[in-house]
Amino acid sequence: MRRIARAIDLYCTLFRAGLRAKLNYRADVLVMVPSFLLIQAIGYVFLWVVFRQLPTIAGWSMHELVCVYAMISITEGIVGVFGEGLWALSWLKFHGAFDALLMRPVSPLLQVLLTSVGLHGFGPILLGSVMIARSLEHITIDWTPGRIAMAVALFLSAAIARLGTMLAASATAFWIETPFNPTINIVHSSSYFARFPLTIYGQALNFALTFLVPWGFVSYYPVAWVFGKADVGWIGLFTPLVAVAAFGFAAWLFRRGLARYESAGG
Amino acid sequence: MYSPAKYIALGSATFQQRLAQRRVFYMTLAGQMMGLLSLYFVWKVLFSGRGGVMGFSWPQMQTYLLLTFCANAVLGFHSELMMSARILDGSIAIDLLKPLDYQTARFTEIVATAVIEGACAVAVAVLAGWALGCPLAPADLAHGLFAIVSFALGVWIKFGVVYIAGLACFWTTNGWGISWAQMAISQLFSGALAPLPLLPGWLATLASWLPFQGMIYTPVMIFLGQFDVAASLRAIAFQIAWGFGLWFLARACGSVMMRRVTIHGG
Repeated sequence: MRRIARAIDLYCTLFRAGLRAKLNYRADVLVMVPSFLLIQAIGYVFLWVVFRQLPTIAGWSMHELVCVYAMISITEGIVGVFGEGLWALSWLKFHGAFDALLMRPVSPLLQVLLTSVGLHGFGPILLGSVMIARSLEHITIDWTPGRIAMAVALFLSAAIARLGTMLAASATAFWIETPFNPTINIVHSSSYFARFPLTIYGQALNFALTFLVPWGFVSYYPVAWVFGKADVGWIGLFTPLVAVAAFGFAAWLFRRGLARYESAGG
Repeated sequence: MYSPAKYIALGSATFQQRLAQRRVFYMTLAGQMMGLLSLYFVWKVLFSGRGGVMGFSWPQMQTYLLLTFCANAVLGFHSELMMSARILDGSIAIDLLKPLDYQTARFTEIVATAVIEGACAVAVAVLAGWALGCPLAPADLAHGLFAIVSFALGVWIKFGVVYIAGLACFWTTNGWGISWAQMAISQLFSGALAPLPLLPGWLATLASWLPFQGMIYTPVMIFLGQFDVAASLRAIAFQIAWGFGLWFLARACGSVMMRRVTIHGG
């Protein structure tokens, strides 16, 4: 218990330090935040364009899919703000900077996550929240206290599931020698699939996105539960389980990688 | 300053260098293939049960997607970052000392890289087209030839856009942010997101005046035979006009930026 409390305390300290470092470069923040927002906004524009031609996709309306996309976008923002450093693991290893992390009496995982604070992540969090709020006005849901509590729990689980997935992808850096980690890019790109109902993708992809790289549990399944989708809504209830499994697997993989790490070039 | 031999030598050296550094490019290509695959399924849903959408048949839309993939692969994110990096890491100081025009030299490098990027992307697209039962073939020989010219002009226009955007790196160290903003705007107005006729009226009108359509929409429409010969020639003339326009705008902006660098002592 004390270890967890200490870890959280350390995380907050490192986070504040990283935040201050980033905010020193005002011009960079002013460029990066709107730019990243623009990229996310394009996703909503795409939905708008597609739904000018169709009333529904696989039984989902535009407002419902806006929420699905918003989940992808918001969780990307959250992981960006709180764990941007996981993109840098291969780079740190390659340039020997990872060794410096290992010499400190602090969890290497924590340090890696906070190598950088992704301020640009606040943009999609804000935009996504606004888009969800606006979309919910068009969707009838019976908001009981139980449903609200579950929705919040599912939201947090989705964010953790994403963090776990990205962290596991990042940890593969321990098995790769190059400064760029192709795995993390490919895994990140595969999140695009989860912007739409997984049923449109056929069985193989559906399976992959549910059981292998669980992007389905970052957006589609939890949102399906909140909207009371009869066919797949119940799967959404497994999101907390998937979150724990994903993060647990990622932490285990990271530890395994750390164990076999033999300094730059190893 | 403008003897072709120097630039041919630069291009040849760049070609060989890029050929030796294929890995990062393959990784980007893999990520883009993910994006393409997810879009493919969405459009498939849109086109299912209908003869066509806004004058496009399903085979034409599939071809549109494959060619968009090819066009996006050329002068991609990585090439863009490499151009910004020269400004950000200061190697532009050495570049400016060389007996080469800075802008033309960068363009030469881009063209040399584009040959490799284009060849790989086209190979993937041809295979994908064959696998989908929609072989990549132009409407007829004339349109095919015009399309090749148009695609080449598209690369020239894309260079102009990327180069001008990259000049912002004289103000901010955030090359990523600049790239994201440029990519978002280009994606929308080039027709990468959706064929321009599918955009809402006012957006489509705006797009028809901007240079971005020359990057993807124009060459693909020519390839598909959606533009007749007269329309194709008009479109190519528009591309040439914008190609020159952007080239000289880039020169103007570039010289302003370079003077700033000199005046402020680097």
